[in-house]
Amino acid sequence: MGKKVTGYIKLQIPAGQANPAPPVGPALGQRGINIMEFCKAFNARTKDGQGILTPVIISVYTDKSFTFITKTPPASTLLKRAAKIQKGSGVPNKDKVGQITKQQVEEIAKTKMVDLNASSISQAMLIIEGTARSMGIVVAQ
Amino acid sequence: MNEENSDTGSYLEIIIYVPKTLADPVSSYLTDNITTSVVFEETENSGITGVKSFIKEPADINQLNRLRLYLAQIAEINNIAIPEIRERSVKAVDWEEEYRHSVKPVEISPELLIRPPWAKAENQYKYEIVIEPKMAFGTGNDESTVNCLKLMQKYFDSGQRFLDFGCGSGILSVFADRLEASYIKAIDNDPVAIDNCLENFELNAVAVRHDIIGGSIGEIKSEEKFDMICANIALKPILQFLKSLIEHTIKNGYLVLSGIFVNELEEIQTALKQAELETVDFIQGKMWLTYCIRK
Repeated sequence: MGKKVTGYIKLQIPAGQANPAPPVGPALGQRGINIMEFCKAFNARTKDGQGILTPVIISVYTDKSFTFITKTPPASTLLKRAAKIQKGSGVPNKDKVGQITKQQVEEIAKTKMVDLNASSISQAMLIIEGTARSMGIVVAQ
Repeated sequence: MNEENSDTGSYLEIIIYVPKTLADPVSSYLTDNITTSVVFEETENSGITGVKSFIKEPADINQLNRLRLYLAQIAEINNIAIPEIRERSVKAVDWEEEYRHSVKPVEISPELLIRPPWAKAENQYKYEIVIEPKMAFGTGNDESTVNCLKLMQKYFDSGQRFLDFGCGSGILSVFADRLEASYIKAIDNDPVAIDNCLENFELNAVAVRHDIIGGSIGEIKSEEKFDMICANIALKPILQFLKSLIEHTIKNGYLVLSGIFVNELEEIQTALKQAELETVDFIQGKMWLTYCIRK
């Protein structure tokens, strides 16, 4: 009989930099997961990622064992990369910190399509444009 | 300095509840300005995500005010109510220490038990290994290491020479000692692993001639050969060093490759085929693959 999944833990951690401090420690520790084995495995898996923020989904099983998958960087990270900025705006309705093209939005939407739960590329693009607006990044029309 | 690395005092846990599509920009704001990592808490079918992060206390009031301003701004942009923030102070826990004490003995086979120093074996085992669980990989709880131990038990004979390439905690080397190796070389490029390996050799009173070395493939002399080499590392270094590892294996000797993710199956199989290597044993677990190659 296969072991049953009791839940999932979704995190975003810089590639190669998982450590037992919060939020990783409490998120995993409270579920009885072996934090150190996760950190070592995650860091080994992502060590070439140069600290880029990496979404990870951990499946937790009844016996406290786990598996995990990593995903492509979040859309916000791809937007910052496309706009060539380090940070999004802290006051995005007022201070615009970067600009990207519609084509770049489409490229990001295609990359993130699988994670966005969108039914079409145009719907995925709308989500990406919304993310851009909430970061103070202007999409050139 | 990473303020999150401290494990004393307390943290302010903050959870920001936003519509799912806004979890990403909020996470981006938090990781740009406040923290390095975040947790997403999703309740099924609610469409709301809780974005959780931790700030070392005392929290910077200005930092929190800037966060509130940001949330007010995205509420305006997206025409939603200002997202709710739940805050609570939580006592810092030394999770590394908590983890250590949660480690229990693991029976790898009816003959082999791995246990932390403070736990006693309930039954008699032919081989018993004591591992101090720390940050180094290989406590006997992960399937990648377990698979290596199983293959060693099957293919390693007494009087043979063993190379532990990427030794981590040294668990495989200690087992090679229990299987009566004639010589053990343990190499790792991580100083944390070397310290833990030295500690575990001492805990297990490894008496056979051995060398524990910080470094990589360059630490193996060109003429050195081993009856078995275990590389419980990751796909990339395996591919990088495969040729050298084969060269250091004696004819008819074994090369155990582990630490390969299941989704890397195609890549490793292509590399093994190109190198014309014979796989004599293969274990596919939930997350990891382990190959035993005969030269």
